[in-house]
Amino acid sequence: MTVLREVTTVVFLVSGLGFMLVGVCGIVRLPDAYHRLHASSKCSTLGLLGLLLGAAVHIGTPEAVMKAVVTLVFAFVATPVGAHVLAKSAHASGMRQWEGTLSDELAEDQDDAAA
Amino acid sequence: MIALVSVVVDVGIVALALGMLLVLYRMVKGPHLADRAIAGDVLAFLVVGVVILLAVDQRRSVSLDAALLVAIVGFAATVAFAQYLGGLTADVEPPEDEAVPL
Repeated sequence: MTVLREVTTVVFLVSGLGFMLVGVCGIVRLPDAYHRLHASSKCSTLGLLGLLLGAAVHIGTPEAVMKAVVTLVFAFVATPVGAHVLAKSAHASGMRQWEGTLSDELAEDQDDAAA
Repeated sequence: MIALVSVVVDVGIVALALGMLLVLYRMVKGPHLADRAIAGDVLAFLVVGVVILLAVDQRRSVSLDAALLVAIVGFAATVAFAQYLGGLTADVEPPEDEAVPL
């Protein structure tokens, strides 16, 4: 039972750390801020999921599980909201897209609404 | 097997510190204000990761409170930065001496 718990903890922690580091690689390597938001929001949410599940399994008390669940619910609600707000205000402030991006549907919608 | 978890915690703290350095590089380099805000957001998440690894290492759930707190403060910082960024409209020209395009 202890061995099973340790192995589960290690698997969760390693997967969480892997997601976090992939997100950091995306922050450094991707071409513009919209792409970087894609990397940061998804990878940090999933990385937090792995780390918190690992901590909950390793500590194992009910309050640890409770705190992990509360933090997870907050992260899964707050991170997409933060990324959306940031992307929308960056778009409103006139940030240019990477030249390889194919479309800008928000600008098209705003043009349609203005016309 | 206890040693395996502590090895993972040690390696993980080093990896997260490395990730913080890379994110700080992005925060310094920019080039847009939104890039710096994103870097700050991810930095907060990396700090949360370090706090969770601390909780795993100590085997106490007290540190998870700090993790939730850092996550909340990071979200508030992101939203505040987004409000500031949304106030900068596209038709306001930046001063000439600032080479960084908005």
